[in-house]
Amino acid sequence: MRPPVAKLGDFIPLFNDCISAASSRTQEYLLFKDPENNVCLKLTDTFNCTAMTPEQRILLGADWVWAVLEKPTKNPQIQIAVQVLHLLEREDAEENANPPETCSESVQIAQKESSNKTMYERLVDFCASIGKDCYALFLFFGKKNDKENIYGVLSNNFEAAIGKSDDDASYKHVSSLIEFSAVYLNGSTQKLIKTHNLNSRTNILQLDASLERYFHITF
Amino acid sequence: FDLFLQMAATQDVKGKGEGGDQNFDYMFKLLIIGNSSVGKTSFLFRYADDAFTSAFVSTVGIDFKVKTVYKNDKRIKLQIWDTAGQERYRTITTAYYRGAMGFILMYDITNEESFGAVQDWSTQIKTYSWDNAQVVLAGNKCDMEEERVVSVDSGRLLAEQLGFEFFETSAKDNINVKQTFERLVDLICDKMSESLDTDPAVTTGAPTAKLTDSAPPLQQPGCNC
Repeated sequence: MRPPVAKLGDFIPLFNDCISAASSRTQEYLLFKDPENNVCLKLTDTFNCTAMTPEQRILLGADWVWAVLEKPTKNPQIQIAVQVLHLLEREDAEENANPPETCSESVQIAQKESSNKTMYERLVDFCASIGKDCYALFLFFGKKNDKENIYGVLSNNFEAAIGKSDDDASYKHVSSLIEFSAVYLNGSTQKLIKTHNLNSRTNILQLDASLERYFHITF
Repeated sequence: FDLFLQMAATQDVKGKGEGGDQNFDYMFKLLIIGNSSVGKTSFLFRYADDAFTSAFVSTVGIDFKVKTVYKNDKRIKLQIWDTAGQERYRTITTAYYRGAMGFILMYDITNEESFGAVQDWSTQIKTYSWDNAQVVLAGNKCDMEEERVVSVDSGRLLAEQLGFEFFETSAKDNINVKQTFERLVDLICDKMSESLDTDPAVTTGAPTAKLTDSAPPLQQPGCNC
C-alpha cells in the first residue's frame, strides 16, 4: 500500500489505495485457515479477482468481483461482487453535494443509464440477476474511532430486504437488512476475526466482540 | 421506424466535464454478443483503442465504450456495449438489448460450439430486441488458420440464412474490425433513410440529411490471411 495521500480532497488515489488494501486484506481473509472446517469457499488457484471499469462500477454497482472459477472452462461457480463504502468520504460528500468535476463522457452515459437506482440497488440487482451463487459484499471503510478496520455485510439475498428499510440514509439502508452475515476484518492482523449471522435490523457498526471466530455462509 | 429515428436522433447527454463531448448528430447503440471467449472484448478494444492483448479476462456482466465516427459530415456517436457471453449473465445482458440499433454477433472460427450457438444468439436478438435492429455476423480469430474448424463458406451460408451481413475478422491482426463496424453503421443509416423516405413526418426533431448519399462499396467478407 502506498503512503497516505497528503492532499486534502484528492480522494481518488486514496480510494484506490483503500480498494487495494481491502482487496489484499479480504483475500487474506478468504485464505484464512478455518480451524473448525466451516469455511464454505474452498479456495484454489482457480480463484480470480476482476477489477471493474469506471463504467461497470456505475452500471453494476461493483468495485471488483471475486470468483471461484470452474476448470477448465473458467466459468465462475461462486462470485462475490464487492462494493466499497467509505464512510468518512460519504460524510464529506454529503456536506459538499457537488459532483466531481472530472467526469468522462462514458461515465456520464453510464450514470444516465443507471439513474433510476442507487449504487446499492444496482449491486443487489446485479447479484440477484445471476442467482444464489453470487453474493454481494458491502465493505465499509473509515468508521469513526475505528478507521483501521473494515466492516462488511455479505448476502446472496439482499433483494429480499429491498424496500423494507424505513430509513433512506445510505448504508443504514444496507445495515437494516432482515438477515445477513457480517464480516469484521482486523486492520492490524489482517485476518478475519469474527463473523456472525445477524437478524432484524442489527446495525453492522454495533457489532460486539462476542461473535464467533469462523466464517460460515448460511443463507 | 418512429422510435428508431427518435433513438438515433441527437440526444442530450447531461453532465459536464472535460470528456463530455456532446456535439454529435446521431447516437447509435450497438451490442457485441456471442459465446464466451470468442473475442468480443478484444474486438471492441481493437476498434476503440487500437489495442490488443492475448491475456483473457472474462467480462463481468456488461461494459461499454464510446467512439465517434463521421459519415457524410455527420458525427455519429457509437455507444458500443460489450456483453459477457456466459449464460449466468444472460438476464443482465439481455436487458441491454432493448434500444440497440445494431448487433455484432460473434463466433470463433476455431470453436465449433461458438458457431453452433449463433442460431440461439439470433433468437435472443429476435426475442429481446426489435425487428429493425441490424445484425452483422463476425467469425473472429481468422488469424488462427491452422486451428480453423468453421469454414468461410459455412459462416457465409449461415449469415445468408439468418439474413445477416458477414465478415471474418481478427482483433489480433486487425482484420475487418473497422469494416465490420462501418458496415453495421451503414446498415443502420440505410434503415433510417428508408424510414425517412417512407414517412417524412417522422423526421420532426431529427436531422433531415440522408446518411446514405455516398455509401461505400461493400467490403470483402472473407479473411485475407
